Amino acid sequence: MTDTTAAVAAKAPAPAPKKGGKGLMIGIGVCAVVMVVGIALWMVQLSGGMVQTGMRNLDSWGFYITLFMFFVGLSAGGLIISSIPNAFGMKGFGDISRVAIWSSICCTCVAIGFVVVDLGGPLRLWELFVYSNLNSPLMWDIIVLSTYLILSIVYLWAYSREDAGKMSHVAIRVISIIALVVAVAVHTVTAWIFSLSAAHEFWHTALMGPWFVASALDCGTALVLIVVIALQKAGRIAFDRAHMVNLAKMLAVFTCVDLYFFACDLLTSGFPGGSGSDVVAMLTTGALAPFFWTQIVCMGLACVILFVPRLRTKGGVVLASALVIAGVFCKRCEILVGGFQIPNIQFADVANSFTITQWESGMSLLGYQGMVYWPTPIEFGVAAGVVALGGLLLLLGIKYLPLHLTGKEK
Amino acid sequence: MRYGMVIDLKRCSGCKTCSVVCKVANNLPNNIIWNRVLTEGGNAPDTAGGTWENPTMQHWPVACQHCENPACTKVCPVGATWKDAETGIVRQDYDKCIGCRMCLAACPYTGVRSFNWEEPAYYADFALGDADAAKHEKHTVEKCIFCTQRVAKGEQPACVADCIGRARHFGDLDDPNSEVSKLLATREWTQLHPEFGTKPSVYYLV
Amino acid sequence: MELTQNTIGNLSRRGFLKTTAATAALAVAGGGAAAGLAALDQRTAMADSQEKVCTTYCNACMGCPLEAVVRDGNVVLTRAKHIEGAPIDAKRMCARGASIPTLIVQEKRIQYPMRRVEGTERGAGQWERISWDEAIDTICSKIKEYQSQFGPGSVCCFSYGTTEPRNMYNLHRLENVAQFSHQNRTTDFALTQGTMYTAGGFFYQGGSDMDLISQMNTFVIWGHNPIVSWPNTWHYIADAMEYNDCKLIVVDPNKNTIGQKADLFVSVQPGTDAALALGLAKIIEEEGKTDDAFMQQKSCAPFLVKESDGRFLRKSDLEEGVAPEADDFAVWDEATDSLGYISTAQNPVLRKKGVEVNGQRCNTSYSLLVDRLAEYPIDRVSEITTVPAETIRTFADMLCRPGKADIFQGYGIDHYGHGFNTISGVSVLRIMLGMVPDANTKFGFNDSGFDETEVEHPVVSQNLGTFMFGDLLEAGKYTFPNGTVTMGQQTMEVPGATVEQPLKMLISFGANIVNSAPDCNKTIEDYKKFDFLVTANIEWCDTADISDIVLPAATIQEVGGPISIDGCLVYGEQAIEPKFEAKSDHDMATLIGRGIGLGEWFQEDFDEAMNHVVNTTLLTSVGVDKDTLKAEGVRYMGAMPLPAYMTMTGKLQFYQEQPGPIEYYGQVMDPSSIALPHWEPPMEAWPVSAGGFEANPLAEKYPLIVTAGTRRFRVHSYYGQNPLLREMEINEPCVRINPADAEARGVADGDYVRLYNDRGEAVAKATLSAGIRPGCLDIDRGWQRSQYKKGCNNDLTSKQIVDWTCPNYAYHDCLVEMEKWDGQ
Repeated sequence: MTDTTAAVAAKAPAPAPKKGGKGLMIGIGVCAVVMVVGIALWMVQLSGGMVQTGMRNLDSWGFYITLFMFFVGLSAGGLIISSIPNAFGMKGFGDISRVAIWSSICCTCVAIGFVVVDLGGPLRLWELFVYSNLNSPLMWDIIVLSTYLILSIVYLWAYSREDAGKMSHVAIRVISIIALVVAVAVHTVTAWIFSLSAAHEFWHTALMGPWFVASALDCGTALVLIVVIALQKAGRIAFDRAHMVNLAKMLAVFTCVDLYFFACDLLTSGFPGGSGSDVVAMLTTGALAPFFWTQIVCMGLACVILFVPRLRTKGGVVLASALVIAGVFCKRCEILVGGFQIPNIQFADVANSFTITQWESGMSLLGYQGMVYWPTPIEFGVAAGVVALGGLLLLLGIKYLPLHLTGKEK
Repeated sequence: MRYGMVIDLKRCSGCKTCSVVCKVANNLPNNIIWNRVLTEGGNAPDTAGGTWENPTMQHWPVACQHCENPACTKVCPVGATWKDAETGIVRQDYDKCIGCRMCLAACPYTGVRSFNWEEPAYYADFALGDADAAKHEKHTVEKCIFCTQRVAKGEQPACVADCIGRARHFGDLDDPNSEVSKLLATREWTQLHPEFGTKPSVYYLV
Repeated sequence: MELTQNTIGNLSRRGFLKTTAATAALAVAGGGAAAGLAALDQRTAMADSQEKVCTTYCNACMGCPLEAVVRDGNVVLTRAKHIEGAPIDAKRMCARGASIPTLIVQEKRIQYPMRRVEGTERGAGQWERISWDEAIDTICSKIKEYQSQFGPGSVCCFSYGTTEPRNMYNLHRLENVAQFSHQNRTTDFALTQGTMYTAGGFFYQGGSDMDLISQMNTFVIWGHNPIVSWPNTWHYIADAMEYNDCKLIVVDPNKNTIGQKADLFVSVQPGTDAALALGLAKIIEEEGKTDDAFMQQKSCAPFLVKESDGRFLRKSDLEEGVAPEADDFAVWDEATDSLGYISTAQNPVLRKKGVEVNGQRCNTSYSLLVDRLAEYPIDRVSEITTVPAETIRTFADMLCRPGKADIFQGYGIDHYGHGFNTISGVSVLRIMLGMVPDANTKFGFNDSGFDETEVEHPVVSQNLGTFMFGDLLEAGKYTFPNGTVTMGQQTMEVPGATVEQPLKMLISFGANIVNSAPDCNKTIEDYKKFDFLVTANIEWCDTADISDIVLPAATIQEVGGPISIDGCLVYGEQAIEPKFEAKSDHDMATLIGRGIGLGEWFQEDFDEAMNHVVNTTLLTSVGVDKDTLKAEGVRYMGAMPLPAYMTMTGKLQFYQEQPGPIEYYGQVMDPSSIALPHWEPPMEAWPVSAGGFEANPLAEKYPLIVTAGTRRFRVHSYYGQNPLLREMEINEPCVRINPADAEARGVADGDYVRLYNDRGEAVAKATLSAGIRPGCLDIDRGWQRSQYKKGCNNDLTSKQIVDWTCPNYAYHDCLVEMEKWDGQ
C-alpha cells in the first residue's frame, strides 16, 4: 500500500529540474508492468475461479476489501487535509492542493479497482446502474464514491481554470468545501457497508462511521506529511517548518481520537461481558492479536514522536506518519477479518473447500481456529496490480498534469 | 401469504437426509450445501458437549431462514436476492448476481449462503434432480429457495417431503388453519437469533 | 448476455405466482388436494421432460422402497416411495438412499473387468482392462483346474451378493451346483441366534411390524443406535414419544445420538448387558411384577425340567407310544394340584421345585431361572455394570410402567465374545414382562438357488469361516479347539472336529470382507495365500485391491428384483441400463456356470429366475406372484400370524434344552452353558475386576475399549466412497474420545491419534465427545484402508475371539491403547 509513497520517494533523489526525470520514467514503467501482471492475474482469478483466493463462504471478503477500505480512507483523508486550508482560507503548504487532489483521485481509483477485482461478475457491473437497489449501503457507497471521484476531477479542473485565470479562488473554495463534505461522507458510507450489518458483532456499532473518518484523517494527514516532506526533499516545494509541526500535531490528535474511538468501542463491547467480550478477546488475545497490538504500538509510538518536540524532526515525522499508516492498515485488517472471525452460529458441522480455507485441518464448519482468512499469492498479485494502477496514475499525473510541483520557492 | 417452515427439534435425529435430498433435488454443485444439520454439542458432528455426567447434543437443521425482514435483500446492490412479496420466499437470481457477496456478509445465519468459488462442478456428468431446478453459475451466491420449483407445483420442498423424522413442516404462516400455524399455536418454539430483528420464517419446535 | 429479470431456471416469476396462488387455494380446500396436485404434476413433469419414475429400492441395509426418477437413461433423483396400505406413513429413505444417483456413477465404481498386471504383486495397484470373455474364460479355466486337482470345494465362494440382500438366487445356485465351499460371514449371528432361540424372531427383521413401535408406552433400545444404523426406525420411536407419551430408555456404553433422545440413559460397562438384564429380572421377580399369565400361556416357564439331563419332561417320557406330533410338555397344574400337560393344564404353575415324577426330580424351568437370577443381586450387578443401584431400580420401575412396552435389541451387544448370552439375557426380560408380541412372520423370498421342484438337489456346501482360511490355505485343514460338554451331571471332553479342505481360489460376490472382517492384517495375509482371487463388486474396495480379477457388478437400479422389508414386498424395476460394462450377479453366475459346463442349470434369464424367488408356496398362498408384484412395485403385507413361535418348542424360551449353533463349522459347543442365560465378562475387553472376575491383564498394556460404531453415511464400507455422502461427514476416519481420556494422553480435538494393540494399529482423527464413556473409544467403521493415514479399524480387532456358541466375530471385544500420532 505504500507503493504510491514509495514511488514518490523513489523518484525523490533524482534531480528534478524539469518535469519527468529518469526516476519518474522508471517508476511509470515499473507501475505499468506490475499493473499488467496484476491484470493478468485477475484474469486468472476470473477464469480459474475465486477459489484461488483465500476467501470462502465464512470469510467472504478479504484482502481486496481491506485495501478498498484503506484506500478510501487515504483518499478521503488526503483530500480533507489538503482542502482544509483552502476551505477555511488558512495558509497551507502553498500549492500542494493539486497533488493532494490528484493523489486522492488515484486512491479513489485504486479503491474502486479493489471493488471491481473483488466482484465475481465484473461483466455485470452495468447492472449496478440498471437495477440499482437504493437500499443497499454498497449502492450508496458507489454513488458517493462516483460523486467524489467526479468532484475531485472538477476540483482539479477548477484549479487549472484558475491557473488560466478563468476561475475565481472563491469558486475553488466553494468546491473545496463541497469536496470536504463528500470526502467525509465517502468514508462514513464505507463504514456503513460494515456497520449497518447487524450480523457481525464487531461491525455493528454506530461508532464505525466517526471511527472511519478519524482513521481517514490520521492516515490522510500522515500521507500528506510524507508526500510534502518528500516533495520538499526533492526540491519541488517548500514550506515553513511551522506548518509541518502544526500538521504533525494534528496527526497526533487525530491518531489519539482514532485510538480513543477504538477504546470506547472495545469498552462498550466488552464491559457487559456478553458476546461483545468475545470480540475484545479476539482482538487482544485471540487470532487477531498480532494486528491489534501492532496497531496499538504503531499508533502509540507515532503519538510519542509527534507530541515530543525534540522528536518532531522531518525524519521523525515521516517515521511517525508511516507508523500511523501501518497502524491504520492493521486496523483495516482487524475490522475485516475480525468481522468474520466469530460466527453467529457456533454449532458443529463439516467444513469443505468452499466454507473455509483451512477446512482440512479444522473438522468443524464453525469451530475453526486461528485466523479464518489469510490472502493467497494471487490476491497479493492482483492487489499489487491495483495499487500499481494507482501509482501509474499518480506518476503520469505528476508527469503530465499541471500540479505545480516545480520551481516554487518560498 | 408467507411460506414458512416449522422444524421439530425433538424429532430431528441429525440424519442429514434433508441435506442430501436438497443437494440432489436442486442439483447443487460440489461443496455447495444449502441445508445443513448442525450439531450443538462438541466440535464435530454427532459429538456431545458438556461433561460425561451430563453430555449434551442437539441437532439443528439450518438453511436460509427466509426472513420476513431479510438482511440480505436490503444490501444486494442489484436486487439479485429479493423477497417475493406474494410468497414470502427469499429468492435468488443467479443470472443477476454480480458476486459482490454483500449478502453473505449481511446474513446473520452463518453458513446458509454459499458462493460458487469456481465453475460449478458435479459428481455426475448429467444434471441431477428436478428438471426445472435452477442452473448454477460460477461466482454467484446461492442458498435455499424453499424448492421454489416444487412449491410452485404444489409440492413440498424436498427436505420436508423426505424428512425421516417427520420433523419438518411447510406451509403458509399467514393462514391460521395451516399445519405450520397450528403447530406454532400449540407448541413451544424458538427461532435462530431473533435479536437481529430479521423475523425468520423458520421456526424450531422445542 | 441475456438477462431475464426475476427468472429462476425455467420458471418465470409470473408463472410461479400463478401456480402458488392456485396451490394456496387448493391447500385451503383440504390436504387431499395437495396430493392430487402432486400426482398431476408428476405426469406433467414426465410429459415435459421425458422423465420416467421407476420403483426401486436401496440395498444399503434393509431395502427401503424408493422411486427413482430417470431422465435420459440416468437416475437423477430418488425419493421415498409411498407405501399404499401401510397402517401409518411408512415412507422411508435415508441419506444413503438419497445418494443413489451419484453412487451409480461415482468415481470409485468398478467399470470394466480388470486384471492385475502380470508380474506385479497382489495389491500393488497395477491393473489392466480386459474383456468380459477373457475374464470369464480365465475364471472358468481356473475353477476347472483347481476343482479337478483339489476337489470341488477348493474353490470357495462368498455368495451374499453384490446387491445384497436378495438377488443372490443364481449365485447360490452356482455355489451349490458347482459345489464350491461357502464362505460364511461369521458376523451378526449372536443376535440372530439369541433372538431366534428365545423369541422365535428378531424384533426388527422377524415378526413384528414396525408400526408396533409407535404404539409403545415404554420402549427400550438396548445396545445399538437405530438412528444411525436403521434411520427409518426413528420416526416410529418419535411418534410413540410424541403421541403416546412413550418413555424411551437407551442402554449403551456411550451416550450417542439415540441416547440423547432418551428419557433414561443407562451407560453400562461394555459387555455387561446380560448382568444388567438379569439384575433387572431379579428385581422384577422379587417385586412380583412379572406377567405370569403371559408366561403360563406363551413361554416355557411352566415346563418341568428333569434334573438328570436338563431336558424338558415330555409326555413321551411318561407314556409309551406317543407319536412325535402328539407329544406334550409336562407341567404342574395348580388347578388340579397334579401333573398335567401344557396343552390341557388350566393353571400351570411357574414356581415349583422338586416335583417327583416316576422317580425323576423335576423343577419348572421358571424356578431354574429364578435360581439363576439369585446370582445377580443388585449390588453385584451394579458393581459389574457400573450402573448405580438407584438407576437400576428406576429402570426396573420404568419397565413395569402400564401400557405396551418392548425392548429393541441390536447388533451392538452382539459384537462381544458372549454375545449370545447378552441377547438371551435381555430376552428374559421381554418374556417375563410379556413384551414379546404374538407369534407372526413377515414374508420373505426364496434365495436358496433352487426352485421348489429342485429342492432335492444336494445343496449343502462346506461352510467355512474366514477365520479358518489361514490354516486351510497353509495346511489344508482346520482343527477346532477341544471343548467340554456337560450332559446332566456328566461332563466330558470333546475333541474339536478337523475340517479338511484344500483352498485354492476364492470368488467374492459383493461385500468387502477384507475391510469388514476382524484382524484385517490377518485377512489380507490369508487372502494372499489363495492362488486366485476374483472379486465382483460395485465399487472398488479393499477386497478388490488384493484380487487377481475384478468384475464390475450392477447396482439394483440397473438390475431390479424383489426385496422384502418391514411388512412390504418390493419389486424394483430395472430403472436404467447397466452403466459401463457392469453385469448383474445373475448374469455373472450364469456366465461362470455355463463356462464350467453347468449350462443346464443356467438357462433362465433374470426375469424367469425371479419366478422361483417370488412364487413360493407361502407367497402364492396369499395371492402374490412375481408378475403381479412386479406390476405393483410395492405391496404392503403386514405381518402374518403364526400358530406358534418359531422356537424349538413353539413357546418363548429362556431355557434351552439342547441348543446347537445356528452356524455350524465343526466346533464344540456346550449346550448346558447356554441353557439358561448368564453373564460372563467379555473375552478381551474386560479391563476391570468386578463381579468376581479378575480384570484381563492385557488391560494394563491396552486399557481402552474400542468399538467401531455404525455411521450415518455408510453401511460397513458400502456407500463410503460416494462423494455426495462424503460431503456430509468429516473427510477422514475419526475416533470419538472422551475429553478426559484425550487429555490424559495429550490429545486435542482434531489431532491424529494412533490406536494400537498387538494385532495392529489405526490412525484416525480425534473428535472429542463428552458422550463417550470414559475408557472407551468409538472409531468409525467402514473406511477403506486407502482412506486411512495408517492401518484400519479392523486391524485392531481379533478373529480369535469367537464364542463357539454362535459363532460370531466379537468386533467390540477389543482392547487398545491410544497415543497422539506423530505422522510416522
